[in-house]
Amino acid sequence: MLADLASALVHVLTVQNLAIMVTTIVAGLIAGSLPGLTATMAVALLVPFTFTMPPTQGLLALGAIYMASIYGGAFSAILINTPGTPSSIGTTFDGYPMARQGRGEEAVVAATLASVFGGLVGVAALIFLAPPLASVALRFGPPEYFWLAIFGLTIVSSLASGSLLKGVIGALLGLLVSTVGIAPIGGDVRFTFGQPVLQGGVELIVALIGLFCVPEMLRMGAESRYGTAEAISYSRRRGVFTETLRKVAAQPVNLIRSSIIGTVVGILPGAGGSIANLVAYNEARRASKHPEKFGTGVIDGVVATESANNAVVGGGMVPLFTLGIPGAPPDAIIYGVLLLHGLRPGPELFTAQADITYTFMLGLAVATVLMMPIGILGGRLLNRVVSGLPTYYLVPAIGLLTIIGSYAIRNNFTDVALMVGFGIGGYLLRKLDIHPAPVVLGLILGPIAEQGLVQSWLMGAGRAYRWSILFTRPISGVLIGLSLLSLLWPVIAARLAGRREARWKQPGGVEA
Amino acid sequence: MSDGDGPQGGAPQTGRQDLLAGLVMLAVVAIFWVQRDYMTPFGGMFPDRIMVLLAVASAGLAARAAWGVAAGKPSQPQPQAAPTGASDAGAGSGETSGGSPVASTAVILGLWVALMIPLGFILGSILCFSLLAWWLAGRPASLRAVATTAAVATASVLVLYWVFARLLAVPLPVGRLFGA
Repeated sequence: MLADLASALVHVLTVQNLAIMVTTIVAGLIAGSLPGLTATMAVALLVPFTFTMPPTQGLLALGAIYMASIYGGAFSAILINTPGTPSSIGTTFDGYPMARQGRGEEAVVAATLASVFGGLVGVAALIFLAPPLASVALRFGPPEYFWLAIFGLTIVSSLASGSLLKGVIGALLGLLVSTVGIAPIGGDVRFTFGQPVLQGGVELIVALIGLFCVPEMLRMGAESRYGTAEAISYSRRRGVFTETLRKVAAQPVNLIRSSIIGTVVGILPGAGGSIANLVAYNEARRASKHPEKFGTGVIDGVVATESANNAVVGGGMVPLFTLGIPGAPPDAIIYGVLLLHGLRPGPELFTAQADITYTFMLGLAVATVLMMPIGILGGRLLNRVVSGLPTYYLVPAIGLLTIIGSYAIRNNFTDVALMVGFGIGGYLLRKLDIHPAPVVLGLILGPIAEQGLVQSWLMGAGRAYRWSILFTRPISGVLIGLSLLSLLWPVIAARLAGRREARWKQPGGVEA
Repeated sequence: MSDGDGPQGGAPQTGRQDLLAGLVMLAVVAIFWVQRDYMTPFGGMFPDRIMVLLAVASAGLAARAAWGVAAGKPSQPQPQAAPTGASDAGAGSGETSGGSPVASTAVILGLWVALMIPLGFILGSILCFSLLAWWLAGRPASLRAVATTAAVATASVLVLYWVFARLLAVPLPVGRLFGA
């Protein structure tokens, strides 16, 4: 393997390959930062250009644009509170407050460093641990996917501000909206309200743009009209990079834990970056000494989400290369390109075609490192541009992006109308103190939960009690335990904190 | 940033807000419930359970709020830092979320979407971008102000049109007026 890696490094570090990677990284950053353009679309749009390239170059280009577009989603999440890709939802929670506090550059640098770290961890797992990790992915069946979705939903306790009940209501609303369209099992057409276009369901990006971006536009519009506009403040400070590097380096546990979460979630087909960043955020908040500060602009939140979502890139390719099962939609496109060039997933990829395979994997790592200078320079520029724009131009510009972004997904006006509807609905929900994050969580996890539930019911045929299939498998048991822990953690943490405080206040104890 | 997010006006307002939230969610469940029309036993397995849970949770919220309003008590703890921190400032505080500018911005946004069908992307967007920018800036109705705004709008729309329609081959609407 080491000989293969050394040979691959020589192939990657040619002027031509580096130039291609830099170009596709820039394209990926732009695509990722534009709401409505996803990593999947960026990879898909690049595929035709790779037909004329040698297989190695084509794969290097695809890997670079994939990694960069996941990272690029952080820019719009931080600067305009709109995740550029679903993988950056969690980055809005603390990244945007940081931008509003004049710390946008710090947020961008933190996102960059975390993305690079997470990306490298994911690629390392791909290179060194692919076969054993793939066997773990095989053990996940419908019951496990159902409980994984439930575990994901328990994050709502982190995302709900003051009322857990309202957070649960938001998540249930998201789950309900996710059932619009054709049922995954059975093919029932549900809740289309007579609109044929809704048979395709509600696009996640449309809901994301509407729920996150439009309420912010309405708020900024109101402030602009009142003359109190302060979208994003910018203050030029020297040494932001070094200072942020120190802050990020001071939280190795957060970095490593979030990257591992991203890698593991990425290995599970269908799970993806949209879940990984939220799970990582939840775990970072739980482990923090000051969980109450999450959501106000703490760098830990940005570090957690960005390292997790970029780790998914490498993790998602583990089942792809070993079993031919794409971990995420962009992996499915890369799978197609592999087949086109005569590369068949499986053991052969690591033996007979080791040259191309290791070149691609190492190329991912090099692209991840190259993201750093490009991302930091680009991010700084973008931060200055966005914060320098008067709000009365920024609001219509965001409106323009949201309209194009939601239209571009299916070339359909209904999506644009839905986006505006979600936006106004999201604004009204916030007035009722129901936040959009749990709703989006429900939208993401709904299809996974439903498919897992129904398939588990089908699997349970022949058992005395059909639903027992959900409770009798070892991995399901672990996930149930994690879900209960996640749900009850606020209560457990409060009890532990109370006992600690009581101990300190005892005679002879140390006052906190 | 999120310290001032709590609703102003104390316990009764919070209670009324929760009561309204519960009732709105019950209405949403009712709307979805009457749309149920499944052809297979799998169609409703998941959504029916979700609707029941949502109805129970919403009824619980409304009941708790109604009891709280009647007793003059807050129905929930004051909201802490929310994950969407800064963006809550306008939604709950009432200070900068004045109804008229928000409603007007929403109306212009709706108009923007509606005008794209007859006028197409370019013309519809230039018009609505200009209108929104001019209105938000509170500019006078002078030729210079209108021209400046229109110029910025035109440049922005054309750049994005080029990126999406030409570079990325996304077929943006031409507009019925232009024979689409």
